[in-house]
Amino acid sequence: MNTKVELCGVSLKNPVLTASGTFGFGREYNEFYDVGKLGGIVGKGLTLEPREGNDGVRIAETSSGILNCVGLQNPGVEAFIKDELPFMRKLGCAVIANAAGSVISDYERMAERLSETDVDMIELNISCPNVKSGGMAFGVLPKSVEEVTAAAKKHCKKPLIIKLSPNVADITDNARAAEQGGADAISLINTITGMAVDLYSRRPILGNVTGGMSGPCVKPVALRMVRQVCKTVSVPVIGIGGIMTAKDALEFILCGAVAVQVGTANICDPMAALKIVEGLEAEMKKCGIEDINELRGALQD
Amino acid sequence: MKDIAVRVTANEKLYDGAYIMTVEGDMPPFRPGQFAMVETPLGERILRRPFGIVDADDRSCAFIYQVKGEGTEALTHLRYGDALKVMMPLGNGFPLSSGKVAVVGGGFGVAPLLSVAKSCKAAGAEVRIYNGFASVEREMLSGLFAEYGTLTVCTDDGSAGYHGFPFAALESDMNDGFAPDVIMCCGPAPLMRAVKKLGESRGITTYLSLEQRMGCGVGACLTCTCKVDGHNKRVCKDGPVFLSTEVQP
Ligand SMILES: Cc1cc2nc3c(=O)[nH]c(=O)nc-3n(C[C@H](O)[C@H](O)[C@H](O)COP(=O)(O)OP(=O)(O)OC[C@H]3O[C@@H](n4cnc5c(N)ncnc54)[C@H](O)[C@@H]3O)c2cc1C
Ligand SMILES: Cc1cc2nc3c(=O)[nH]c(=O)nc-3n(C[C@H](O)[C@H](O)[C@H](O)COP(=O)(O)O)c2cc1C
Ligand code: FES
Repeated sequence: MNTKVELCGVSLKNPVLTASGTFGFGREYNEFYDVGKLGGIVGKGLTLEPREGNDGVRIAETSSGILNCVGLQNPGVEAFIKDELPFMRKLGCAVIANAAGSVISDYERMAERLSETDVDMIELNISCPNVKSGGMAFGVLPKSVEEVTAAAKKHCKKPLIIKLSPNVADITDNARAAEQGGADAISLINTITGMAVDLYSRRPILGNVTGGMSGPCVKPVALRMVRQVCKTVSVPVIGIGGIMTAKDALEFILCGAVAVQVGTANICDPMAALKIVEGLEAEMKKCGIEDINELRGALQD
Repeated sequence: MKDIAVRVTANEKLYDGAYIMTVEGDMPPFRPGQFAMVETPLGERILRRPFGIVDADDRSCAFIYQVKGEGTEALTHLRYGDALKVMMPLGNGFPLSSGKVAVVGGGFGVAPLLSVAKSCKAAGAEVRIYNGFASVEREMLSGLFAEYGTLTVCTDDGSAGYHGFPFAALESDMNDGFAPDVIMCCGPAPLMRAVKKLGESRGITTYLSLEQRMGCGVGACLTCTCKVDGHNKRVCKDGPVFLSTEVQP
């Protein structure tokens, strides 16, 4: 059976990637299994300078999901290149760097700097507040999605993935804007903004009050958005959101995704991403396919 | 660290709201003060729960847990033979000492300290243990602790042993001439603050085991951080045991 897929000219041994922020830079989970068996890993979101992230409680649980407000704690792009990338490169799977910023020039400089390295692709997290636009996230308005994509693209020599936020009016407008800005691929969804409170102490649970929701509870929203985006753009789409099993992963491919990212599942079960890879063939058999590429976009809707 | 398929061998009530659970499986070696991430039988509560390792050998492991919310409530329904996943051993654990050791525990914080007392004793340390509970009904593990050192049980209400908090019992022994080389503490934040103050004011190396809400338990998701010397560090990987001088519990 064939599970190999091609994403922006990069060959992946299977379509299973890990989602940014849930897998560190691969070190921890490589103690549980050979991370090289995955299609690839997306590293923790990077910024130009190291960041401490948010204070206080950073995680809460909800039915079939979690909320987090880590706040982009990371060692900074230079420490990533020096201390993490050489290790990631040796794993034997695709390596994707995830980058974030506070102003457009941050994204330009991140794209430029990461292009000088041997990462396979660069994914931009545009769900971050734009400090020059009163803190509204870059990813909210289609105009700003196009702007930040086009700016980064000019400085980018690697395939550029734009990761869309689901907290928007119409996801297809934003996907189109990313494509127009020059995105080589689109990934979605990032987390859905939510909150959790403690009734008895009358306080929010998260230090940051609100947080991003992820896990199986967001899967229906993610599937819907992936389907809509796949019908709208012609660049490849990477499906993310609540993928816990090989069956979940194939559902996203059925909706048109070329590859998928597994996030919260790793947090719940250290073996999750590997189990998903290992479960693909059995599910493909049930679908009556020999090649995973046969399933892509085959949804009859 | 390993993700281990285990079976429950016992899950007994110590008192209302407190249980001791033992599981059987292929257990890796652990260091005293390390913890485990335990799967709950509630399918929709997708995070595992962190619990200190009370004691373990190559076939079995024991935990003591307080019934706090839905996850731990669900654990109380596990019966002999039920299967679950346990990821362990996690975190750094307490250092081994062969000198004079003061072990200070409060409530469920005594759980990870039993193996600390045991291993220090085995290394030749003089171990004194100060375990505090709300009342005599909440007392735990005293028979076992007493095997590994001089045990002072403390109760907040005076229903057994020393009437008062365990740091006060330790302080009183120190005033009588006990000079520990190291203090190892786990318990509620107010106890840890008091022990931090006591240890630091007397110039004694003091270790505290911190708690934080956790996601992965292995260092990958950065959701469990606390401030260590002003920087956010992972309680699950860089801790849970920190030098008192580095942290503000
Ligand atoms: C390293 C470490 C070791 C621990 N060892 C023990 C032990 O040996 N015995 C024991 O009784 N308790 C221990 N705890 C606390 C225990 O993990 C929580 O009481 C438990 O997770 C509560 O789960 P719940 O579903 O009942 O509560 P809920 O409030 O329903 O849980 C909701 C979420 O919050 C988390 N959470 C709630 N309270 C705490 C807390 N105090 N610390 C960390 N996470 C929390 C839960 O894990 C879960 O993710 C330890 C905590 C840590 C961090
Ligand atoms: C703890 C945590 C940290 C995350 N950090 C990032 C990040 O740094 N950059 C980013 O683009 N997405 C981040 N995400 C979002 C995930 O990559 C993913 O888009 C989202 O969680 C949905 O997928 P899931 O349901 O499989 O987790 C984070 C998610 C979690 C749970
Ligand atoms: S719980 Fe994930 S890093 Fe500590």
